[in-house]
Amino acid sequence: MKKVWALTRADWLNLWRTSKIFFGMILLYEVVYILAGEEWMFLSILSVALGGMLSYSAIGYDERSGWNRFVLTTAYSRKDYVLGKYLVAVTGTLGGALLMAATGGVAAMTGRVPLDEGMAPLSGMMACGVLIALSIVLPLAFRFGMEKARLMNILVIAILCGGAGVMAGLGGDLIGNIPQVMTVLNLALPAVTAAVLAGSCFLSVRIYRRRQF
Amino acid sequence: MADAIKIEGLTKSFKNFTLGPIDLALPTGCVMGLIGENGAGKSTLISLLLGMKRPDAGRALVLGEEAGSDNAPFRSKIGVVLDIPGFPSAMRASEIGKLLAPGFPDWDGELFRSLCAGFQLPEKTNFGEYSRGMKMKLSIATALAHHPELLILDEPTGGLDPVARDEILDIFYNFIQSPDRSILISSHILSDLEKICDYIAFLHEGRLLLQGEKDVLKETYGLMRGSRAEIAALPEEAVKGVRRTGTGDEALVLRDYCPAAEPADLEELMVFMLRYAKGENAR
Repeated sequence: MKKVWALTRADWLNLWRTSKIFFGMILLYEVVYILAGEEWMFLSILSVALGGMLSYSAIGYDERSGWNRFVLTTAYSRKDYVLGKYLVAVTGTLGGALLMAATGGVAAMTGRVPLDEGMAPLSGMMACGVLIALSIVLPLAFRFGMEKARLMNILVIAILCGGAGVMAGLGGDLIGNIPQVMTVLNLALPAVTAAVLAGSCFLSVRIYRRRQF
Repeated sequence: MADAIKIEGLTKSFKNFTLGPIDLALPTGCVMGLIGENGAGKSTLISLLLGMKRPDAGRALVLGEEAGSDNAPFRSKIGVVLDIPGFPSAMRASEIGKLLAPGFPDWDGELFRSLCAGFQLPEKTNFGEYSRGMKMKLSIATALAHHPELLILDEPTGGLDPVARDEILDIFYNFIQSPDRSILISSHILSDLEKICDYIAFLHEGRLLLQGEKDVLKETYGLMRGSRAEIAALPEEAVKGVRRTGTGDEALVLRDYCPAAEPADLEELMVFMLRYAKGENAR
């Protein structure tokens, strides 16, 4: 794990220096939400997605610089490399979710939005959704490269959001009115997310071990 | 001592190109130069040795293990310089050193720092802002800093000025003084290879056109200069390539037949052999 952490730290350092505008956007979304009120909460939710998508940038930068090729000649294994990117995805997503929850608290303190106990579970559910989307796209990135995976990412997001919308339309009112269902959902979703993420990671390692450069 | 690199029947096919089958051996303690024109397959061969590509047939052993083994202790014995150095572009030399250190059990931070200082690499500049020469120097520093037994170098002196090239070659020469260390170096700068190589392997269109000890090759082949008639009079089996110049003809010949021939340097050998292979052997 020491090697994986070293790779992840390097990714975050590289991202911080090359993607300051990205971090600036995330911060701007949170500030707008705090200042403008509840109607702008979707911006805060976007922060979670943007945080997770920084893993795409990490893979993209490596492809552009050639590091994804050179690292194969070092004593870092292909598995270390893949795990490092998943760690970026997880830390980015959780970072975004924590920021969203914290921003909700700050916004409530300004009085522009009501203090909502559901903010923390909502940021958690959002993080799970983002991680599930990443679990689908990351293996594609390791197989086909980041440029092609970004195109597939749009499709994945559309399917997931569309699916969520359809489910909400079919039984949203019912589900929302049954606290037990929400409790089960809140408990099951992290476990499902962890399982999907683990499966995705396993698949990505297998894909990357066979990939040729 | 086992060979540092042993290749048997190695083959890799692409849509419009096939490398191999290649049979090659680099004895431990020696330096082998890999030469050939652009697109001959040098970088592909190096990729196969490093496990970046998988062969379609044959095998390659590097330091006794199958090429491409994911075994970390094995990979830490190999220092690599690729034709295009690839490090994260926003990182500085010292940060790249810290990034590589956990990956190599024998990483020598002190050696890395001293190599970077010797190469005068700027401390506060990101890798992405380095010139090509600086990138190669950093790549060489990272390759040497973990005390490898084998260096695999793909155009390591490309983009370097003559003084820097000489400095780098001195470093490689010092590296090879230890009898258990070896170098495989691919380069277009044949004068550099003349200085340090013990063996030469000449690739052309994916096949080995020539291989052997450099000094033996230079003894075997020579250059004859003369008029068209004089060159045409040479035995056909002795002539391995002819070039017409404004002042007469030049021919690459087997010195067994033409003892008077001057020794050919690597560049002359390569140019004439390529022309011969392409059928440009106009007599």
